[in-house]
Amino acid sequence: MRKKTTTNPTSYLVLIILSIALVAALVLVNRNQDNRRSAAFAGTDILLASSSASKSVGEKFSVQIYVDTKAMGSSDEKAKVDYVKTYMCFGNKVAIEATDTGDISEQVRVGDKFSVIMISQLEEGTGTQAGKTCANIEIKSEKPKAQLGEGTVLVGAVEFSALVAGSENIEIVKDMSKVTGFNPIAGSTDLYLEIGTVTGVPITVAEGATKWTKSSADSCNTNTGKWGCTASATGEFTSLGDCEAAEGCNVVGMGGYNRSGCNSQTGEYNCTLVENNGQYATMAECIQTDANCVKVNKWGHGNTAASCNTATGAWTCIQVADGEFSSKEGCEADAGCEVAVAKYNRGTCNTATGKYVCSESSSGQYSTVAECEAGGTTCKVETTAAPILNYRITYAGVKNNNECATNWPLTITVRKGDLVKTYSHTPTPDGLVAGNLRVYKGSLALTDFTASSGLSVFIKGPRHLQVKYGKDKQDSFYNLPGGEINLSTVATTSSVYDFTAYPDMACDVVGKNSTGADGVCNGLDYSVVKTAALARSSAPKDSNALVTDMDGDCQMSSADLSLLAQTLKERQDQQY
Amino acid sequence: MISKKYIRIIIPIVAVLVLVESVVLVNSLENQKIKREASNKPDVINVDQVIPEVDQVETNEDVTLKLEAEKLSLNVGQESFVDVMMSTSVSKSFDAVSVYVDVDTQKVALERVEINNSMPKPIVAKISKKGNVALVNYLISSPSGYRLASGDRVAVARIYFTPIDSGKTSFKILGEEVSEAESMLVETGTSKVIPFNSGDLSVSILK
Repeated sequence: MRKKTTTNPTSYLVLIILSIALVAALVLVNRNQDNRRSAAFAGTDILLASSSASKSVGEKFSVQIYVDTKAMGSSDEKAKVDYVKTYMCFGNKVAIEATDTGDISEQVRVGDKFSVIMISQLEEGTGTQAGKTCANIEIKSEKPKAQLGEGTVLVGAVEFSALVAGSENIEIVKDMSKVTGFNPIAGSTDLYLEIGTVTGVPITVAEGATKWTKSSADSCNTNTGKWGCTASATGEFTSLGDCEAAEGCNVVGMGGYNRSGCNSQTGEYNCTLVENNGQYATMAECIQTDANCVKVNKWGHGNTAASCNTATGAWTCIQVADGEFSSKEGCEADAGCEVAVAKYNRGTCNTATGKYVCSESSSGQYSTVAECEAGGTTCKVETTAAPILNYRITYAGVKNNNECATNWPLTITVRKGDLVKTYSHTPTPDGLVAGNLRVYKGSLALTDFTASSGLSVFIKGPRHLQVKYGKDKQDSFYNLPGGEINLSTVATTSSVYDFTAYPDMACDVVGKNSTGADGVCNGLDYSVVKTAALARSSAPKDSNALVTDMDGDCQMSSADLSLLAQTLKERQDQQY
Repeated sequence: MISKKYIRIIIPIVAVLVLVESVVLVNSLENQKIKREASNKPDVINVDQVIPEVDQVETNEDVTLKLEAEKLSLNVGQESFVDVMMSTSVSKSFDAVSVYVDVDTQKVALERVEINNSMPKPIVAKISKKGNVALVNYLISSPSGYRLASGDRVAVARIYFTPIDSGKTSFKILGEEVSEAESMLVETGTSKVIPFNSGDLSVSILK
């Protein structure tokens, strides 16, 4: 007999309760359980974007950098961003215009949620990016927490140029990129945001126009005095430079040119650029000759000793209105200017060279320099038993083409126990590069220093901190007592100590109680260099005039400031 | 053998217990997290909770660096903290703010230095390797510097410590006596060192 199946109400109750338990468990699992501090949080994406993927050769285009932060767990709040480091690599189809030192700060703009560019530097790619060029860009926000960006945030934009036809992928190296910000759950701003995906931007560069034209009649950049130009097959300029420099675009406030007298030798007016309300818009218009400024075709030499060239026996002649000669040759050949017979007198004996120091004198005893310098037996090279320190060194941030990093005098202190002596010495470029830094070499005789083994050497550059070197090929802070440097008294055989892997650290430019370096790196040095960097100060090549120029590239920029901050942090890590 | 009738009663009871236990456990975890954040993270330092220090601070200068203790009297082993507060009577902008606080390591063990969000991120905020100095160093890259308006007061750092021996001890803001550890404020634009008022902070440690 078949048993009739009945449904017990208790079974329904069990089913309902278990369903509630399942739903509750799912809700609870979704709640955030991670309450660690200082841990990476949130999956944050970095992506690049450009207005279009197709460019023409010569075209300039902008690539925007975005980060996209995510909501935390069950919270609706998204992670906020206060710092982004992107390491963006690309091949030779495109380029970013950089200074000689690789600085690209002029090509980088900062998004409105961010405040400053900390680093913007071009570097050669390494590892998987070998052969490519990489832009290391660090941007941070100094805004209050409430004003930090979240979700999809524009970090900044970089100006590129399309160089060669072909396909290019501008990509972000994830491992070398970094994002920090505010974790709404942990409640702190010094946390790393875990980078999820990074997305580059593909660019196709087409064989484009080889000519250039002004972007528009309004494309004059009144900050630079250059026209904004775009590539065009029908453009009237054959190069971007010609287009940018076309007449009619001046720096606002410069106002053009004013005349300041007539140059009678050329028949042109002397003209100077003035800040406001110049009478002439262009230099060509200003210098143009007229009836009041004519070329004068007479010559004179002034009959002064200064205008007689005693080396050639000819007068130095200039065009003057009331000159007595009708030709330059006649003027130069005028009587009264003879070739001088040089004579020399001996000074002191240079014991390093074994020659006398000679100076020119009209009543000199010797008729040639060689005769004067010849020391014979009375002026000889003095040999010394002093130990010879042969060394190679680099300076932090000083690259091979930095033209103001020349003739930097070093203060070198040598120590063994209580025996200490300090020397001044100026090394010279060695023609080598270590890493990407220029190598300098020097050979210093440690006169009056009796020890030659177990030495330590303390080296301080003119705007640098004193660094201790204790061994050959030292590549980090030497924190042991004494040293392992051994020298001989023969320059050619004494070991060459390679200190290039641990560059002298740039920082020290001013002291609290002195106008020059005081051996201490602190906030005062930072402030002075920052002020100079903001003023964009510069110096002539081969000049040491700019003491705040940390990397010796003759100009002040954020790179100098970054170098100093790096030194200050490293020094405090060593000391504390 | 247990009958099916009993099983049908026991299963829902067990299910309800599991549900209640899950809710209690997760709420407990959340509470622990909130407590830990409250004790470790001075997101905004509540100045009202801090007892004013009693040592004399000179007031000759416009800017004052002052040490303020959570408690002026505490027991050995009881973790506490000292705030470094900066205030000014006239508006100032700073390119650099460096503060070094020295302690007697026979009396207290420095634990850590924490900073809040009211100033830009410092390049260094740490306890020295010897454990006797807490230091914080701000370098302001913004062209206008870090501006403090007249009457403003800001927490530069919070220094956590644990007393290790009884007696009276002092916290001291280091000045010119140690050239490489000189507390220093540098003004934006002029690059001049700004003089400031400061004083020692004394606390009593009980067994």
